[in-house]
Amino acid sequence: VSGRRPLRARLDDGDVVMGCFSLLVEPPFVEMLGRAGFDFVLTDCEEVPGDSYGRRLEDLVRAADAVGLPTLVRPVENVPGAINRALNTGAEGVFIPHVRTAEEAGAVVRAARYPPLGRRGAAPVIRAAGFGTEPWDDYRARVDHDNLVFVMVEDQEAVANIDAIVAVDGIDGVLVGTWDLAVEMGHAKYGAPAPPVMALVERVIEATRSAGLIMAAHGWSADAAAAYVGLGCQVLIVSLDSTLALQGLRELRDLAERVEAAR
Amino acid sequence: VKRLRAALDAGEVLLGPGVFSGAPSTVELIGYLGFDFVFLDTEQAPPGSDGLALEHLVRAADAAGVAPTVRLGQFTPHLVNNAINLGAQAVWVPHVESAAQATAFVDAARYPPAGHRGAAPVVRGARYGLEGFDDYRARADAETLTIAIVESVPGVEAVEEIAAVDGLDVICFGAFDFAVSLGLRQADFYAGGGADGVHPDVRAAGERCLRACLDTGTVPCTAAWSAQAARLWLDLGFRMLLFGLDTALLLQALRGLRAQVDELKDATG
Repeated sequence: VSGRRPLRARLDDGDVVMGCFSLLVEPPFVEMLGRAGFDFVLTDCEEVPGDSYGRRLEDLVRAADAVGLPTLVRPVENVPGAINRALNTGAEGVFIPHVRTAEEAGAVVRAARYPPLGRRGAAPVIRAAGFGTEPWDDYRARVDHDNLVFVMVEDQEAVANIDAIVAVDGIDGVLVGTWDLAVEMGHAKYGAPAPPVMALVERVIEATRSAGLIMAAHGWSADAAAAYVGLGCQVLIVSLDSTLALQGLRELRDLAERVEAAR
Repeated sequence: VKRLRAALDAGEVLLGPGVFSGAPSTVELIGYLGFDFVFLDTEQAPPGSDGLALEHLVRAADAAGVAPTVRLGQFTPHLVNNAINLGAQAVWVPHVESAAQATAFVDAARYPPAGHRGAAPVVRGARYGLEGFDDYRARADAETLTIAIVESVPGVEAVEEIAAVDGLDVICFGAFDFAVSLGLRQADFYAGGGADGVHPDVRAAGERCLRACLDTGTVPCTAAWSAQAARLWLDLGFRMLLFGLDTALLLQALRGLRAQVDELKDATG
């Protein structure tokens, strides 16, 4: 969207950006995240119901555009069509789940970048290019520079391969998936990751930062987010729209119980 | 995004196309090309184009930076409130034929004490509550344009009393419906006007609406389907024009393409 400063420019300036996962597939919730002042919304297609990767994805990106909020998308899986369509909507970047090897990271780059670096399908009439109102050459130059391509490292196999993954040309950054790692390692619990999980997280951060890439992480609390920023993370995903809704509902439920107890 | 009320107060002339397709992407195209407003139709557009589909259209206008305006399927207070709640800058009510109808419309579009619009501070137009209600209420009451479409013989007969209704901002002369109301055929409507592209009886009714507006400080508006007709209405003193329709524009482009196909086949056949 013209006039809006791309996330890429803010990251180049060294800014830390904070956003929210959107799992509820509802345009009004996306608009609320923007109105509340987050830096981006990360729209999920992997874990949510319905066809969030189809027409609904366009509805969600449009909602973000309506309130000036950059959209990042987690496609349903690491397949070229899902990545291309996510970028075609006008999202500023993608987070590809469960990338385990350098070969898989290479497939991400092929899907997300135009030739010669990649093999993304080219169409000048997509929504991201204003349905053709933005000249193709301008669009291409803009997104070649601005689009953010993140891989999610969330398997022990991926951590073992992290140096090769971050060496793949065309990858901008890594989001470490602490929850999937914890589940795989038998340490799934809310809150701070168990020490063995955190050791792998720190290994990923170190390798990513050493390669000069952008590091992204889930901050499950203000303290955790601050700690990740201290470790050099620039992109923080601080909550989920569904979690925020639940928090509000829980507080209301507690209030209702207190009202009843006082009768 | 252009604030339509302020633009009219500043003496600007406003032109915007209509969307009959119900397609959010078409609304965005209109926004990218920089029109003054977009006319989101729910009267003649496909069934279901109000409600949630309308929310998508208004959102598309916001995303592309063009002022959303909504034509209702018919007048009910609920539909007026709903359109403003979504964030429409103007509401168009079709087939207004009396001062009483215009008064009911204006009443539904303003919060008390001026009117009886239902109050909710959490609506999309109020940024879901992030804009305080006091601010939203002052802004919505001050900025929302009420547009009565006068498009029948009885409506034109009553246009002076309609224009005199306090709080009615714009009268839109609906030329095509009026022509149908007169019993004109489409061919007469376009061809009968000679050089200016508007049938003389239609033009006369349009000028009567214009005078009623000028006498009462109401903004005169109409619809034009050609540059020629648009020029005529603007030269007469109309200040707001619904100009062009998405489906008609697509049809026009397809006709051109179809002609090219015929030529290609002739040339290679």
